[in-house]
Amino acid sequence: MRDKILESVIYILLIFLLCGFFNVQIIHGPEYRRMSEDNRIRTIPISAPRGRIFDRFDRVLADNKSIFNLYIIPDDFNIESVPQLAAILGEDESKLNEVIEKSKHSFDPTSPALIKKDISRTAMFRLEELSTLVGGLVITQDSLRYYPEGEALCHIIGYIGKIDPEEYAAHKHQGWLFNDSIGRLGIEKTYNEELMGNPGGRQIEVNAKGQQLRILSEKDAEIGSDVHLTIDAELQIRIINLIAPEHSISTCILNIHSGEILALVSTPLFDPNIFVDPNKSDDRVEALKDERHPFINRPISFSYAPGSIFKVLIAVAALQEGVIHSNTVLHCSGAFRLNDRSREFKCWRESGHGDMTLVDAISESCNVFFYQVGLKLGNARIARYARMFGFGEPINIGLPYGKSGLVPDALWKKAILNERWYAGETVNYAIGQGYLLVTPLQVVKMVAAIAADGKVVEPHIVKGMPYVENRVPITHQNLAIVRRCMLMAIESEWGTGHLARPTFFKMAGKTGTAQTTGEPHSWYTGFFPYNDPQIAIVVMGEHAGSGGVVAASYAGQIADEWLALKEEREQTGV
Amino acid sequence: MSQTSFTRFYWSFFLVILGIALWGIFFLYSASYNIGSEQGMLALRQMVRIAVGLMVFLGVVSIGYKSFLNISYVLYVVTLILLIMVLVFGTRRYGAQRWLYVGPFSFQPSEFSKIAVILALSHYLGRRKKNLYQIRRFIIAFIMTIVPLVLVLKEPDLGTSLIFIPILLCMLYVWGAKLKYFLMTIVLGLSSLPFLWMLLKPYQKDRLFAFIDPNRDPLGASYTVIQSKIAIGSGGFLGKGWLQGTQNKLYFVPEHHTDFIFSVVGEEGGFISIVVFFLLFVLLFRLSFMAIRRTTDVSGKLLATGIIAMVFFHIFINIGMTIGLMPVTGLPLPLISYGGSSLLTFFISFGLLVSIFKERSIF
Repeated sequence: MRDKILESVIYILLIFLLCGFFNVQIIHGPEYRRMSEDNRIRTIPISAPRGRIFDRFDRVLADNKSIFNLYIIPDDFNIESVPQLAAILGEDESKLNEVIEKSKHSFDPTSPALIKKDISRTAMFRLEELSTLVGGLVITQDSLRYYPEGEALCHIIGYIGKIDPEEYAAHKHQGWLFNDSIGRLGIEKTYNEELMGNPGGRQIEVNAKGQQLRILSEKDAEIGSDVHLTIDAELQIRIINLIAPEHSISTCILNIHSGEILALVSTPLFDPNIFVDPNKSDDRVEALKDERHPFINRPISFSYAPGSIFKVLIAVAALQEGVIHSNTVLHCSGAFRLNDRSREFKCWRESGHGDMTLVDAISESCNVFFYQVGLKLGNARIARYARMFGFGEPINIGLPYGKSGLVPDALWKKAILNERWYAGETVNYAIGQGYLLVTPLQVVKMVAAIAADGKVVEPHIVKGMPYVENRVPITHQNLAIVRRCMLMAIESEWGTGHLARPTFFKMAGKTGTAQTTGEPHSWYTGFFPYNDPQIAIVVMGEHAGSGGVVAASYAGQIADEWLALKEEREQTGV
Repeated sequence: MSQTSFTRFYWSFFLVILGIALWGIFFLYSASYNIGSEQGMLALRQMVRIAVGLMVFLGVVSIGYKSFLNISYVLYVVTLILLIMVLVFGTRRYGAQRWLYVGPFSFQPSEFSKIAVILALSHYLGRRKKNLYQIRRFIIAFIMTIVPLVLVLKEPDLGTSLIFIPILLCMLYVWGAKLKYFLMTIVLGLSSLPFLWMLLKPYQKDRLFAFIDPNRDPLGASYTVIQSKIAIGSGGFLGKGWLQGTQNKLYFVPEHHTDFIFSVVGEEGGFISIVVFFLLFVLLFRLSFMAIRRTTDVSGKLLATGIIAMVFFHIFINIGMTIGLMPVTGLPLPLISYGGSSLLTFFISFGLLVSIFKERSIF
């Protein structure tokens, strides 16, 4: 019985559905047929403004400007109106013709195609007027990305670019529009999904001439979420002003207690506005051709031989493993041989340093001392300590394209190069040469851990990224010895880093001059102030010469700037 | 006597589902006609799937529904595990996490979960008298349905999750549940709506809003429905002819080869084709109800009811959505929409239906 009722209900519902089709196809059929033939409905998407990006003091680093754009709907636009359009826009007629002709062959000639971005207010009013006579013209109020600080934060903020057809096809279902832009570098790239809002749009019915009859429905665009950075834009700008234009410098200032990156500079710089401002496309071509690769964010995306700054890590490892003590004396005669037949490994000082303890060896950057310590440690232990401090793996600070660098050992060499490891390579390893590659960010992370007495906070550049804290298994006593050695490298009479001495307070650090093809790389890393460490600094100058000269003097000035800014803010009560 | 009548039934059923599936292929080919590289490939792939599906159908008939009922609880638990696995390891497509990969094959456990739930419910209710402890049966049956429902809803797949409810209600109704319990259920269901609302994703809410107010979202769901209505309406009585549709070719109707295939039917085949499809559906239901009437096994009867309800609500919601009578939920059209998991589920279901008719001859 009940199954009969169920069956009847099913048939009744099917008949109801069929009536619906009868209504749509037979009763309203002609109406829909006309709509389909004329194709009267147009959808005009309105892109959403991207969320803004702020520095740690809420200074705006990426903003939006409101602009007017001109679109045409190719199917509705009569080519005979081109002269009028060209006159208003002040464009060449044949060039405009070309653009419009191209749009007619787009995949959907009933959806708007961009003709001109950022039209002037007067042009906008005249076009509005023209659109009452000519069909197929659409003027939308869109937003244009704008970077108020220009070059200063280019590698951090990154830039945006128009999506290509493949990306459009892949993300259409998420609501991406054909004319949308997405982040290509920096925060704009890593936080693209958060920054992108939800597009709006309106659906209009047009008449046979393509003129708007009425708006069928409308939806406002929703702005994307804001992103707040840990960066101190003022400090960043002041650091940039210190750097000589001929240098390619990477530098990073890290708060050792919070892991917050306060400044992250990579020179040469570029102006991210060239990617969004329609009037700056020539500059873009110029920048893309620049052989100094301004678009690479050097502190995280390039890895280099660290040279003598790696001695800091060797010192930590050697003390912790007990292969030396703080008062162990090793002799430097200016050169070192593994055995009678081996080649000579030289110290930078040909006459030799004589008898040295660890503190002398760090402050005067003696190679022969560390050759011997390195051999005592062996490649496996050096690699283990390097990895313990985060070398050999990328650091996710919230920016794209982080490099991992390379921490070699015998196992690696066997697996990758299928060769055995030679003792001579361990000798080189100990002074940061050979296969070893590190990024400036990894270096500053290591120094921060030493300065914070073994506490390792993951560096990050976006507020709200998880705070991750670990410890390196090194005794406080050993870390204190190494910090003392680093102090002497700056403060002692013979110290290689005396150019890094700040005006007030004391800095501890280490210089490095990494041999490579061409001029050596200039390294400096340290922490400041020595008595109450707050920040860790790394400065790396590509092919800039001696670390004790270029990098060290920048580091001293950077420490001065940081302190000066801090005091200015304390006085003004910010 | 009974042997011949089964043979006739078997053949009729086979021809009806084959007819629906093959005719669907024509429109699927047309729908994918303009997708550049995919041209023809979708229809070809669907044909292979239908061939596989028919073999599965024949296999299920010869195994018989009783074996499936015997392992129904196992199937039910396995399905729950698969649904959880989808949420944990599943692959995202079109913004939802519904697919699991096994080697080169991907499938949607949510599709199979429908038949697993129907089997488990039939097994549970079929072995229990309706006169005793009816409230308890009612509640347990509901819990058995709600658990997979919530898991599917989390994927998120609103359409598939909501279809569980009418299936359960139909099965309880045919089982013989008291009408006052149905009333109570409806009251309970309405009062739990705010809770369900919180579980919905923003885009699912948007779709429901768009159904209530089509002008709300011109770029999303209601845009699709308006374009689908124009496509169907413009087909008129005789249609524009095969491959002659314009609306569906110019990307006006998105997802037309999966969910909106019926708007291609309406546009190119016209009202006359719609009527033919409806006649085929009516034939399918008539044959299915014959299985219900013939069997003396309560579990078999309930199983047939569940399957009929599942098939019917898929048809009703999918087709209703193309002319704006139902919200856009993404439910496939049985035997016609492009998609392997859904096809296989329906072929298994039809195999079970036919075997319910057959098993009678044992007595």
